[in-house]
Formats: sequence, C-alpha cells, structure tokens
Amino acid sequence: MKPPHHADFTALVTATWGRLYRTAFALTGDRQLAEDALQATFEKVYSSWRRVSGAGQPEAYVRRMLVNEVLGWRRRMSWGAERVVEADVDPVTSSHEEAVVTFDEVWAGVTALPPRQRAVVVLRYYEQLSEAEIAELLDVRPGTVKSQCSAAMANLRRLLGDRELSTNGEQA
Amino acid sequence: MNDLDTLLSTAIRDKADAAVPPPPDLKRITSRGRRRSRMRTGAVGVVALAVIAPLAAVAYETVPGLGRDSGSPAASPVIDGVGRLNFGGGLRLWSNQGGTSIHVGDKDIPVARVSNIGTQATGTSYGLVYFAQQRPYLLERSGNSVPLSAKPTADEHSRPHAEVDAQRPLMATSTFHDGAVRLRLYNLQQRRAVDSFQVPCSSDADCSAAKVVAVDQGLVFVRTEAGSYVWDHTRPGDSAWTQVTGPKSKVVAVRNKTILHTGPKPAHPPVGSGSPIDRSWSYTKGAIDAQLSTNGKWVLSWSNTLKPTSGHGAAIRLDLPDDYINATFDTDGSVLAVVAGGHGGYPVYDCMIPSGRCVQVSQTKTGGEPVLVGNDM
Repeated sequence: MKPPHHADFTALVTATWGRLYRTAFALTGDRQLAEDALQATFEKVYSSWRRVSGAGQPEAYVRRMLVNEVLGWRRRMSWGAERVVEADVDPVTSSHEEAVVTFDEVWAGVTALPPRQRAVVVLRYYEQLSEAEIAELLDVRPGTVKSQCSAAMANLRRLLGDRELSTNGEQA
Repeated sequence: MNDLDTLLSTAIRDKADAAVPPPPDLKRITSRGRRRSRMRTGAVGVVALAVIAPLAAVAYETVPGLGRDSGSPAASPVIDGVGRLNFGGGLRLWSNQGGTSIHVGDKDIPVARVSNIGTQATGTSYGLVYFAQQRPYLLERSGNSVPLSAKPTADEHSRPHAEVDAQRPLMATSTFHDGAVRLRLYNLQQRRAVDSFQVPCSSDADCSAAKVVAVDQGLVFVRTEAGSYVWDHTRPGDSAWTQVTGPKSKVVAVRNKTILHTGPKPAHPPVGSGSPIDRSWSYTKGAIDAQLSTNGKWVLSWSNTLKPTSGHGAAIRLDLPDDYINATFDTDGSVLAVVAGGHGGYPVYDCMIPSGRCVQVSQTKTGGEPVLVGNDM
C-alpha cells in the first residue's frame, strides 16, 4: 500500500526533476554525478516528506538539499574507477566555430572552479539568485558569497587569459 | 552586467539546458526512501522499549589474522601485493588520471586493482581504510590489506562511511544493515572492531541521514537530521548517547576538543548533565564542507588561507600558485593541495603548518582533476 503522500511526492519529482537535474549538472559538470546527486536528494525528500511539503516553497527546499548534497560529496566523493571526470569540452576545430569555442572555454573554466565557488557562480548566473538568497541557501554570510564570487571571477579571468571577452561569444 | 557576466550566464545556460535529463527512477527513489522511513519506524520500537535509553550492543568481532588465506577473499576488489608503501610524508592519497589510478603514500596503483572497491575511503596514519565486499579493509604499509571485520557489516547498496581519531588508533563507521544504522568502532592497531552501537532513531531523532562525522578523544560524533550526537563507548546504558546540537546546528568535524559546526553556536551541556562534552571543549563555526586541522587549531575552507579556530591571531597563508583548486589535511598534519596545471596536468603540493611553505610532491598527468581523499573526508 502506498503511503498517503505518494501522489504528491510523485508530482513534485515529475515537476522538478528536469530543472533540478540541469542545476545538478551545472554544479557537478558530470551527467552521472548529477543524476546520482539528484537521486540521493529525492530519497531524502521522500523520507522527510512532511518537512519538505510543509515548506513554503518545496522546490526551493529541494534545491537547497541538492546543493548541500553536491557540496557534501566533496567529503565522500566516489573515487577510483567510479569517478571519471567528464571532459565536456569540444576541441577547437575551425575559425567559424570560435563563438562556440569561447562558450566552451567559459564552461570549462566554471567546471574547473572549486566546488563552493562553482556553486556560487551557478546559483548566481544560472539560477539567478541574489547574494542574500545564495547566502541563505548555503548557510553563510552574504559577505562570504561576495568573496567567493569575487574569487571565482578572478579565477575565471585567469583561466581565460588576456583575450578580449565579447558578449557575442567571439574572441579577439 | 559586463561581458564576463553575460558569457557566464550564456555558457552555463547553454550547457546545462542542453543536458538531457534521464527519466527519474521513481521506483528506486521511493524504494530507498521507504527503506529510510522503515528504518526510522523500526527503530521507534526499539526506542519504545528503551525510551530515552539508547541500545548499546557490544559486539566484539574477531578478525582473521594477517594470513592471506584466512579471511582475505581471492577476488580482486581487495588491494593486495602492491609492494611496500611509504607513509613518511603522510598518506598523500588522491585518485588521478580521471580515475585510472590512485596514489597512496609514494605509489600510483592502477585502477584495475581497485575498480570494484565501494565508494568510501579514508586516510589514516595506519593506512588506507576502504570498503570492499560490504566490510572495511585496511591497506597497510606492507602493500597488503587486512579485513577489519570477519563478515559483511553493511547492506550491499548502502554507502558506508568512516572517520578516524587523529590522536588514537580508532576508526568508526556508520553502516546500514538489517534495517538499522549501526556504528562500529575499530582499533586500527589491533585490526578489530572493539564495540558497536545501534543508533536510536525515533520520529524526533530522524536518523535517515545518520552518519559518523568525526571521532575525537575516543568519542564518536554522529549527525542525524534531528541534530548531532556523541557516542561514548566507555559509558554504560543511557549515558553512552548524548545530544551535542539541535537540528539547526550541524557538527562538521571535531579535532583535539574543537568542534566545527554550522548554524548557531551550541550551548555547552549543563554541569552535571553527564555529557562528555564539558567546558574544556570549544566550538568554532564553519561551512558544511570545511575541514579542521589535526590539532584543531586551523580551519580550511576553500581558500589558501587557514583561519585560526581561536578567532584571533594571524591566519596561515599557504604558499601556493594562484591556480589553487583544492586542498585537504593529510594524515601527518600537513596540507595537501592540488593546483590547476592547464595542459600539463595537476601539480600536487605538500604544505607545512604553521609556516605555510609548500613543496611540490607530484605532477599528475592530464585526464581530470585529481580527487584528494584526506584523513578528514
């Protein structure tokens, strides 16, 4: 017999899985890790359904659990053959693909950031959260978010080198 | 919004939105979620019998000796015969080359030898603790592994976790087995389990996420969704299990009587409460993934600067190149750090405390960022 909350839980998973998977992918840079993290998160959501469903914004609550799941994996990261970093970067092939290459390089830079800096960048630039919202989600002070974001941008600029950045994706 | 802001938004959106989500495995999610719930429900019965009295179950387990034929399986998930390992500079543990090998001590071990190992590993002064065949093993200096349990201690699909005491030869694990979370305390010198304890779960003490987070002064710190607790295996009955924090604060790490936590600062238990956490212990706040030095004096948290837990005094700045990526405390108290190396691979540095002086000890090949597996993971 299914528990009474089963239908509600299924509805939440169905409605949010795609969005949260993409967030998990942006956080991890790896499709398998993203799926594992989301799977583990929803297992916890299921067993804590009363708390999650009682939250004002269940999806935001689950997103918070997901981010902490991914950050927590730094401590208990699978290793050995079970962890293969997905080099999801296309090689530079020809000049007419320069726009794509630039975005790929930016993405490669994001995936090379330390996990916490990466999380801040993803939450700010992909989830479009404010510093205050990120601080609340990560349970840190807004000043910490600001400094992490600043460090991330400095790292990215260093990784991208001295090339001119253009909003149309082309590089000088 | 400047150009980099725009590029970031576009690049992340393009990549993330292009990632096609696999369908959710609802059957697996609900099955495992139910198992977590059942674990709690089943444990409520236990708690009903002993209300606030936790159930301490001492289960001394003898362990086969060092003979390779006494308990060591012939199958290959166990690391054996890799030659003598040098732990003189710390365990220096990382996986590299995109997961094709691991580095332990002074050796790279091909992944073929460890490809079937479970998911968790912990560096200790006595060697590498890892899980294979649902039981913990210790890879020693000899290059061979010793089983720490004569029989499986975890369910096949559970994710066992281990933490180590930095001062004593003690290691604790939390495993899910037969519908319950059980803590086991091992003596790494004696290579055997010395005690075990079933986590007393209840609807109030949701232990669906129960796991060992630290071992210090012989005490085992456990985090559940209801808060953080300490198991003192030397105390009998009720007094063995006491609460350290409520659900708003989480114990992250504990070293040398310093408790690193998130959330509000926990209050010291009242004098006479019987808690082993008396006023000689101190609290310091940090991020959920921060790390404590083995002496409890420094916090490492995604920065090349170690901050003092005392809250005053100078920080230690590690002398690392700017492309610092990741770091962890090694078993000898130093800091192991990985630096981005572009196309040339990833240099690994060993940094001394308190000088902050760093020396490159290795250069991994290309193929992915190496994953540091420190003694506080």
